[in-house]
Amino acid sequence: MSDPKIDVRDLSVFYGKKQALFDVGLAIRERRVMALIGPSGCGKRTFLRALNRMHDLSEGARVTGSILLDGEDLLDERVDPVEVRRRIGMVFQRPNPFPKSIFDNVAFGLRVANLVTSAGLSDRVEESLRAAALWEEVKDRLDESAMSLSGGQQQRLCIARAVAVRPEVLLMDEPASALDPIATEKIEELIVELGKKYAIVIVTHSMSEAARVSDHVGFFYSGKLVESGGTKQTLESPKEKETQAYLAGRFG
Amino acid sequence: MTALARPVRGKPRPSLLGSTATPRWERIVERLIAAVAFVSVAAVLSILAFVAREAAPLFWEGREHLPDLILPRQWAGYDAPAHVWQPVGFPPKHDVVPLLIGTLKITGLAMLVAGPIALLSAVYIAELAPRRVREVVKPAIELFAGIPSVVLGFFSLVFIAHFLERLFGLTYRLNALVAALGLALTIIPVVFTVSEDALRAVPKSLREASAALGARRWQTTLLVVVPAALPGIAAAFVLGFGRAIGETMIVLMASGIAPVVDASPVSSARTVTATIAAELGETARGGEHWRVLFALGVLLFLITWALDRMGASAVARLRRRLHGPEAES
Repeated sequence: MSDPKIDVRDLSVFYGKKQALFDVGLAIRERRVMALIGPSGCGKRTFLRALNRMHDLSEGARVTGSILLDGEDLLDERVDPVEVRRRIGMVFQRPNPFPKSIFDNVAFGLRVANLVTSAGLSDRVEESLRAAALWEEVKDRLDESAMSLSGGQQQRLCIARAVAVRPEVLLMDEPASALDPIATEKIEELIVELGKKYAIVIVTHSMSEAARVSDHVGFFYSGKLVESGGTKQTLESPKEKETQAYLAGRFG
Repeated sequence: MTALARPVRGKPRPSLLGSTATPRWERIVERLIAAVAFVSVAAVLSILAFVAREAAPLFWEGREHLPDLILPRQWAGYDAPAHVWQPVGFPPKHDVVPLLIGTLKITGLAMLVAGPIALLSAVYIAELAPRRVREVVKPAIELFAGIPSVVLGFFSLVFIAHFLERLFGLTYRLNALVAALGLALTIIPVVFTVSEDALRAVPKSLREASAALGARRWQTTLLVVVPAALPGIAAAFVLGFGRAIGETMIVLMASGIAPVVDASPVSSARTVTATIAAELGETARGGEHWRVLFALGVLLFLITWALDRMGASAVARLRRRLHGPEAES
């Protein structure tokens, strides 16, 4: 097998004195979807947010270990977290479009990074909206406020916004949990589609969602990675006792 | 479930219909609260009615003087038609234009000074300052709003006037600029507090979205947070302006109180508020001068009321913008 896109080693996260994540090691592969599952408070979000250095934004959070992106440790103090976030995009649990026009939302990442000329901007916006399966619904009203979209559309807009800067990895934090079943289905189809191009890491509460969209799963429990492997094997015949109990619905 | 459904042994449950809609005492208290609220609204309205009643006869008693209230006139001893406020001159001259100019000049200058300072402080405190700094600085600035304006007037009169006189070698020690700087001290806390609240009301999720898209901190502030908070910031400026235009004591003490018509920031000026404060006690009740002062009061009332409404609607717009159309207050 080729080298992983992201190789996480001995990753621990502390909030103040409290340790939330314990020595996690996990490999994330190119053009695969990795689902992180586990009960609330198990550390899967903490893990996800370490990957694009979101913990830098919160006072009192500390991250140790190493996260190798194509062999380079992005936790190294010489690394600019802004550069990391331009290569590793993120989609959040609740749709959080800016109170700006649809166009400006998608163009935001390109503009702040000065990535494309203004001539190339509208091409890139269209391409991104197409990639997020939103173009047909909004092409005639790009100047309207993003707040006028439905929740599902807003979330696809957030995905378009994230892929516009052409990241190498896409992180998704329960992207469908605030949406109705139809919108959820669209987002899941989109994840499968995007998974053919990017490495995707998705946190989800739903086992069926993990089964539908992911190639690999990692099961977290009280701050530790208990088990990881191919989605089918892990969900159907988990090796560890905690995983078996969780999947059987005995806690969660 | 079963525990709820089972009647308490030995004590028959009273029928639901026996418990009348709302207990009587609750209704009495509700009425009382409504009455108190009504009293305060009635008080405001009756003040307006009283002030307007004193001003209204202007429009039928001595109607021939009405144009002189706002139009220039060639008075005896003047070379050209002029706006003159000289209520104890002979004849009395009640042209309010010099007072409006004084008010606009001082208020405008004060906004020009206070606006940027207050906004930048708000951005710093809301976005950049470490929590410990914020916990000290924010209440300190807000404490400023509690300083009696006569103290700020005294401060302007003595220290600011002295400082500016030495700095620029001014002809008039007390002038519009001195009053404006004093006034700025009262506006800053208003504009600061309301803008800071607006900036802090921008949800964390937007800042995170911006950071996750590779924006630097200043880009997040400038391109996401400030634009999102813009209606609230506009409200802050409107409220600050309303506060400034109604302020009396500082301008009375520090403006030099001469009704001058010119554009210079360092000539003396006389505001509407200072005029009312200085002259109302000295004039004959029911005379033309008296009526004009009350008309000025009505004007101030309407201006501040309109500004307040504008501020409130801007805040409502901010809420809708950040939380979607369903988040009506």
